[in-house]
Amino acid sequence: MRKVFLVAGKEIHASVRSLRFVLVLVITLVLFIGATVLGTNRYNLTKNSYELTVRQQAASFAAVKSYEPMLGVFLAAYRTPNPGTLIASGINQLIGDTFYIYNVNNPPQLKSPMIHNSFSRLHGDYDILTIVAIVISFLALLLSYDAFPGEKRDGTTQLLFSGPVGRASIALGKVLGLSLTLFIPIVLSTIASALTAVIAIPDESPAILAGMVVMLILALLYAAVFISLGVAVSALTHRPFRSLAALLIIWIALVFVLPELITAAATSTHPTPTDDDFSNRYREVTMQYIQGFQSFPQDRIERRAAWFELTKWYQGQLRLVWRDIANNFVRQEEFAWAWGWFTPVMPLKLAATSYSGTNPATEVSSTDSVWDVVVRYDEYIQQKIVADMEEARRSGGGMPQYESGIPWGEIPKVEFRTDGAEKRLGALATGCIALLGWLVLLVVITVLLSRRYDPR
Amino acid sequence: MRSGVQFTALLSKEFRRLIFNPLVLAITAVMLIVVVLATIRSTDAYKWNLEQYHALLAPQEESPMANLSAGAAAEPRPLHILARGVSDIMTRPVWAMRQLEAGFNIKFTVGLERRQRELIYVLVPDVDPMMVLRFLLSILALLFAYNQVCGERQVGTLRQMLANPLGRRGILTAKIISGLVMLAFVVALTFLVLMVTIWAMDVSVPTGEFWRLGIMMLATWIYGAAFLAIGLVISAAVATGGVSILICLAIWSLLVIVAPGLTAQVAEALSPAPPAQQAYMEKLSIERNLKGGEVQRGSAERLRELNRRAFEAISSVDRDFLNQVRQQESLAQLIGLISPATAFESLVTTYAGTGITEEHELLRQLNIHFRMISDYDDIEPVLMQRTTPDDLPEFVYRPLSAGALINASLIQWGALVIMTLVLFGIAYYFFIRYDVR
Repeated sequence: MRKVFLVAGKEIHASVRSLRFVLVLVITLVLFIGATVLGTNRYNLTKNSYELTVRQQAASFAAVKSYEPMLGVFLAAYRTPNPGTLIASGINQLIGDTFYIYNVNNPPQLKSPMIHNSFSRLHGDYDILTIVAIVISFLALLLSYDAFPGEKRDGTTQLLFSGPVGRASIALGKVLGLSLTLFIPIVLSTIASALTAVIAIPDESPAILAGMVVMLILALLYAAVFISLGVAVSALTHRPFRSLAALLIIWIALVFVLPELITAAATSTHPTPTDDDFSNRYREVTMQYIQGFQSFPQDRIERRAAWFELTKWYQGQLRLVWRDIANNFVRQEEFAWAWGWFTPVMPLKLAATSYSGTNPATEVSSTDSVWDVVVRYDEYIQQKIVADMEEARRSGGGMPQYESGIPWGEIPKVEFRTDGAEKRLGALATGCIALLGWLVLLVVITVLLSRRYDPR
Repeated sequence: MRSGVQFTALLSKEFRRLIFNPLVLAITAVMLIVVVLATIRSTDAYKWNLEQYHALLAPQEESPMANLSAGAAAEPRPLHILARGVSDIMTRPVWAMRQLEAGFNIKFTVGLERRQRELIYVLVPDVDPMMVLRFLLSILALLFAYNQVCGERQVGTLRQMLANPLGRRGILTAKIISGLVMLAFVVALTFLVLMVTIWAMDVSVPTGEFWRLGIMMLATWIYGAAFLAIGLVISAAVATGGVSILICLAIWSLLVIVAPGLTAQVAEALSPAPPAQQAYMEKLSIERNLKGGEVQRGSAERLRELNRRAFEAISSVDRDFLNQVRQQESLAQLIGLISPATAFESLVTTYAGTGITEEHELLRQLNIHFRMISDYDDIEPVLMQRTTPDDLPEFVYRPLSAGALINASLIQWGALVIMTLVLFGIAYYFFIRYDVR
């Protein structure tokens, strides 16, 4: 083991003083801090919008003079801004953070109150996860591509191999040393961005710090995977340039092509129904609902009660239609988990988004919690109306009139269901295990290849 | 005459150097494969969008509950396959809302109310062939160039070449010409493969749009040339190939991977727009104040008048808000010019009909259309009745003309071409002073 550290120490000494280390350090620092500054800026924009909206909604509810409950109460639920978007913006790039709910006969709709300018739609967002997934892997390869052939070019391989240190120790030492070299910029950059984020958003510092730690763990593992990939491929080649060329192609395949293929497979094995399917089913259920009107009893109160019963059924059906689509998203994500280990990128992205609560499954359960509130609130209104009607009949008055500012009870607050800590940490652990698996596999391959590396 | 022969010899040597390079061949092969995959994926998305669009146009079944008055979207076009840009947004239907709300929720909701195709796409970028070219053609161009000067110095051939009477300018010119021709060849091959793939998937690009293809090819070629120039500059500025490729790849990762995603967010931070929610709430209160309780009771004449006033007031809120977003966008476009990748992306999306300018035009046309519908709707403000009159004018999007497109993309063309020329100039400057020992 001491020999491994010896080689690792030599590698660190050699690389820390090289041009490429300076390049790597500068690039990671600039990118991490840049992403954090921009991410906190966007977070603060979202938060401003959120606070404004909540305030204005309260005011507008207070100003409402009357409404006929059956025509649809307009409700909106606003998702609280998620500091996890700093680390992995995930789903937040695509959807907004507002749910508009028309109760009774409409499914919750997602709308975005934040209009990002169209330019960001052209290029997508830019967060720490993206930097780690694409840039860190690339820098790892730049650091490690000439681990073996570089020594050969400099003529030190024979010297190294003739010493008392075994080939396996040399290989392990190289992986360890280069990994530690890359860890320095990653750790420094993460600390810098954590500080930046905490200064910009002091209220959320515990969540941000926890997220940064998680990202750091994932980034270190991911970097080590690509370092060992670089060393493994370099142990196959005798000229640095060949190794770099092969690595470039492997990198393109792992980081860009395979994730695309896996997602394409996920969406073709679980195809999402089109809008047309959706509206057909919606229409079908609606027609049944309307036909149900014909069998209502004569008595006014009974008729109201029957209408409410029917509405409840209708709402249940709509929720089923919605669930079919939503579950499909969840199944696609499960598919990505199941097949994602073909490339280190997918476990990294899935673990980071799941931890930050920006993955599809979390999105689906959030929307489901909006449905809960819709159901609860409707029930409340319906019971209140029937009770009022019965009261009016008992006292011999006319039917209840809902004209002047009725506060319809406390509108239940939507508590967005997100995954608990257990599930999020579970996802993180799964991601880490997949990355560790890659790491072990690649290190073993590196050791095996180093045995038969020809030093001449 | 003699120097002409020598120049030809030099050129053919440079060509051989580029063509018989295993790495170049490998990257080209990888690029072609990835382009085919991306084209397949992008064509699927196009077909999906088209299906949605036709479902939108199909006559709706009569239903007493149908209270949506009209939906409108731009028709997906085959060229959208090449560069998706904002096509997913443009082809999603925008609904003019219920009659009671006919005045609002119109322009404002464009593109935002769409249901996502698949949520899983957040994990990977939505690829299209032009994105593949943006990533890989730039690498290829750098690989063409990174070794041209310092590599030959290391091998020792540069000194021998200097012995011929063409001089340093001639040598670099031969290198540039051979690189440009090779790039043109690769671009042509890629577009050929791409078109065959699209054709094999039963989509045909109308002949009237071939000029757009040609212009996109030209943009791709110039984009490649920009990276060729970057590679040559670095190659002529450093002593060894190893250092050159490191710097090239570092610059590549900044220009191609990082810069594009950055620009929009930088613009957002520099020129902030108020939250969209604010505009939305303003519109809501205008609607309420103007119409108030009269919605269901006033005469048709009165309602029409109110609706029109609401529409005007709301449109002006929309305009103000959108103007601020536009400012952000144009700032982002300007910042984007620092990277050839962003300029290239803007160019190809513009000519594929999926650019930002095209989206603005769509918004403008939709606004006119919905104004008409809003006049229509308030004639019969009765709930629970089908509100799509049969003679309602259909929305057909008229794409921007060639002149408008060229106008919109002039700044990107300028930036890309000037950047390339300046970089070539710098390459000459460095090469003439290059220490060949």
